[in-house]
This record gives sequence, structure tokens and C-alpha cells, in this order.
Amino acid sequence: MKISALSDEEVVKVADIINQILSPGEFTRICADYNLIKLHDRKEDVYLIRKEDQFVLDEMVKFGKIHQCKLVLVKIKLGFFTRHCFRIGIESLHFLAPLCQHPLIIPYKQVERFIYGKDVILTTVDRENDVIRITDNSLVIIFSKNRLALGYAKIIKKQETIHLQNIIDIGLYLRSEKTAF
Amino acid sequence: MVHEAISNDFVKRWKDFYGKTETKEILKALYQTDPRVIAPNVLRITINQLKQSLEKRGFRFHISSSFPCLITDYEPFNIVATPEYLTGQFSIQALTSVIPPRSLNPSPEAIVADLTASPGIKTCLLAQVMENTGTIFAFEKAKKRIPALKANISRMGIFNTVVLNCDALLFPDLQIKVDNILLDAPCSGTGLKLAKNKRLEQRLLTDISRQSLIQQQLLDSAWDQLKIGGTLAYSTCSLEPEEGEVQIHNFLHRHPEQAELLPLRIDIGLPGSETHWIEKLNPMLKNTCRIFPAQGIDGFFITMMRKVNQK
Repeated sequence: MKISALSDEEVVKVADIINQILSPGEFTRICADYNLIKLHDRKEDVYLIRKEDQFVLDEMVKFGKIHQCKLVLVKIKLGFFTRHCFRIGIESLHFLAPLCQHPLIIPYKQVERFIYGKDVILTTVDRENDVIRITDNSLVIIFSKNRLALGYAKIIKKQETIHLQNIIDIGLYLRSEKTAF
Repeated sequence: MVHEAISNDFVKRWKDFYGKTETKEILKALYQTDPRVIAPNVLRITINQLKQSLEKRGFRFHISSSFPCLITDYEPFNIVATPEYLTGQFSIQALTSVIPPRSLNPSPEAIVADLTASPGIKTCLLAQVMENTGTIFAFEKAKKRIPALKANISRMGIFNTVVLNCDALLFPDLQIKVDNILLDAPCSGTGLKLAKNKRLEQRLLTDISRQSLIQQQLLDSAWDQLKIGGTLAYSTCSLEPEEGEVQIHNFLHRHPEQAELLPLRIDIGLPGSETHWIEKLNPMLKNTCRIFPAQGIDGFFITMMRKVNQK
């Protein structure tokens, strides 16, 4: 079990993704209170850990080395690195959703479609959404009308439509038999 | 029909321990199927808001009189297919699952250990009591149970938990003293209703001694990691005194003058002071609680211990 801090290059890769969702400076503010760490396994999971919890982590590492046991979750998981690219994880949704700068709200019928893992097309510009301010091809958080965070999508703006390409959604908790209740 | 499912060895034991009348009631209750119970995630929603939100989808509930939970009266479809479930606004659980975390009542910023965490319902309840602050060490030995534990923690938006896939008996090697410990110990499960406990049909008397040995080992190793003044909640869903009152009696004997049993504020069940065990065992057992299987609730045993001294 190996834990390491992220390299500067890796922090930039994480920031590039997270900054698409948060307001400017928000991620820097988070990094002032938290350390970014990587847990090495089949993938390299990226976690946020409060600076005052560093002693917990050091004990975990020693413990894991003695007993060959596995640390599988360390508080706040942001995502993971795969083939040197950072991918956001569904585990980060509840942490990032309240800090989301441009929440994208979809109608009720599209909620079902989205949490079934499908893409969503909004045919008219939804006045509830501030889509003009959202950069094309950027990462967004999708919400229902009653402000429940449903997952992450990539926004692709076309002439008359807005295409939301599903990246990951909360339906994942049911689709995997291992994680269903 | 119930007698066919449960071996006569167990039925005879219960008659010896609890009497014929109580055993008849236990057997009747074990055959019942209980309605689904859901508990709101208080970090995200209140019980009334949750009730309103789900009733708009056609569900019907009544609020439990004993615990802050909703009891399902009508389910038009499986409740896990609702956005409310998927966004972690509630968890599905037994009524008795609420008791250990609420009795333990760790303060925010505390360091807590949950020694048998999966599937994570009690871990998430602990995190809610702690207002998602502090640190919970969640131990789970079985690798196949880890995905469910991780999923429940992330689904419910819990940010204070560290999950370890290892045997909780290794806890002392972690070199971290904790403020509170939750030990919902592995047990024979004889208090669980048959509808959700098919293993009861296969239970043997030897399972009791095997499980009580594991419980003893877990209690002893966990106790060393508890700070002075810290509390440990021990619970099982078993009707066997070897996994309940006798287990605690023996623990107190092995750790003389180190523990005090704290009174529990639970409105249901039989306090230890009203069972005949109090005449035969340590008088401190008056502060334990035994719940017999009844309408809507499984059999359960719980005690809360405070560490007053180190060996």
C-alpha cells in the first residue's frame, strides 16, 4: 500500500478538471486547507485530506506495511489517474456540488434518462441555466429541478441544442450489483 | 412451520432462559415479515422533508414512535430506484441499526472506530451524529463486502471515514487511541427475522461458542485502543446470553475496575435490571438492554461501556 503526494504536473491536471466546475480561486482555497494525495493500487486514486489529519495517514502507511492490509478509502475521493490522465469520480459529487459555479438543471424526464447512464439533449436554452457563461466542451454538474446533484457531464453547445454527454452519474450505485444495497 | 426452520436445540434454550410464554412470542415474531424502514440522512434532509418528497412519488409512510425513521406502508415501486435514494438522502436499514450510533453519540471532531463496518449503514449514521467531522476508522475483513461499504459512504456524502480492508483484531497495531468504538459484533444472528436471515435454519449450537470467542477477542483488542473516558458500544442481534449478558459479565471479570456500564436511553426492550441475569451475573448489567423480536423489530442486545481505568 503506497501513498504519495501528487507531483506539480499531476496537481495541474487535477486543477484543470476541477476548475471547470468551481469558481475561480476556489480550488486554490481548498488546497490551502487540504493536501492532495494518491493511493497506489490498480488505479491511482486521488484524495483530499485535511492537513491536520496527516498523522492519521502516516499511521495508516506504517500499519499497512506491517500487515499487508489495504487502505481502500481515505475520506474525500476526487477521482483517479489512469494512463496519466485525471478522471473525476462519482465520490466527489457531494463535495463539489455545493461549490459548483454553474449548476446545470435538467427537466424531470431527462433526469431518468441521465441516471440510466444516457446522454441528454436540451432542445431549447433552459432559462434556469446560465449556459452562456459555461465554456463549451467543459465539465459540468447536472442537477434535478429540486437541486439534487445527479452526476457529471460534458457540455457540447450546438446551434439550437445543448448536448450533455454523460461522464458519470449516481445511477452507478444501482448498476453495479456489488454496490447495490 | 417456524419450528421446522429453527432447530429444537435453540427453542429449548430459549424456553430455559426466557420462559415458555416469551419463547412462544419470540417464535411468532421471527416468522413475521416487517415493512421496510428508512432513515433520513440528517446531513442532507429532515425526516418530514423526506416523507413529503417520497410521498409525491406515491410512497406512503408513518413515522416510527421509537426512532427517527420512516416505516413504509405502501411502495408503488422499489424505493432504491428513486433519485432520493441514489443521492444519499436516506438509507434502508433495520430499526435496531439506529440504536448503537445514537447511544454512542460521538462528539464532532472525535476519533471513532467502527470495527465491523460493512455495509456501512451504522458507519454513515455515526458520521451523521458527528456532523461529518472528525475521523471514523471503518474496518471490514471481507473483501467482497468492501464495494457495498464504499458505495454507501460515497452515496451518503460522508467525508470523514477511512476504510480499511483488514481484520479488526489488528486494530491495536494502528497505534491510534480513539474516543469511541462501535462494535456491532459478528454473532449467531438468532434474533433476526427469518425473512432476512436464511442462515438461521443452518445454525448450530457450536456457532454460539465460536462466535462468542470472536466477540471476546474483538472486545479485548478494541478495549486497549480506547482512551480513558472513552466509550464502547457493544451490540449483537442474537438472543443468546453467551453473546450478550454473559459476554459482558466475563469482560468485566477480565477487566476489573476498568469499565462502567452506562445507562441507555432507549424506550423499547427490557433493561438488564428486569431480567433474571442480574441476580446471577454482575450487578452492573442492569444498564444493558435486551430487545426481543416483535412486530417491526429484530431481537437485539446492547450495552455501553466507559473506560474509567487502564490496566
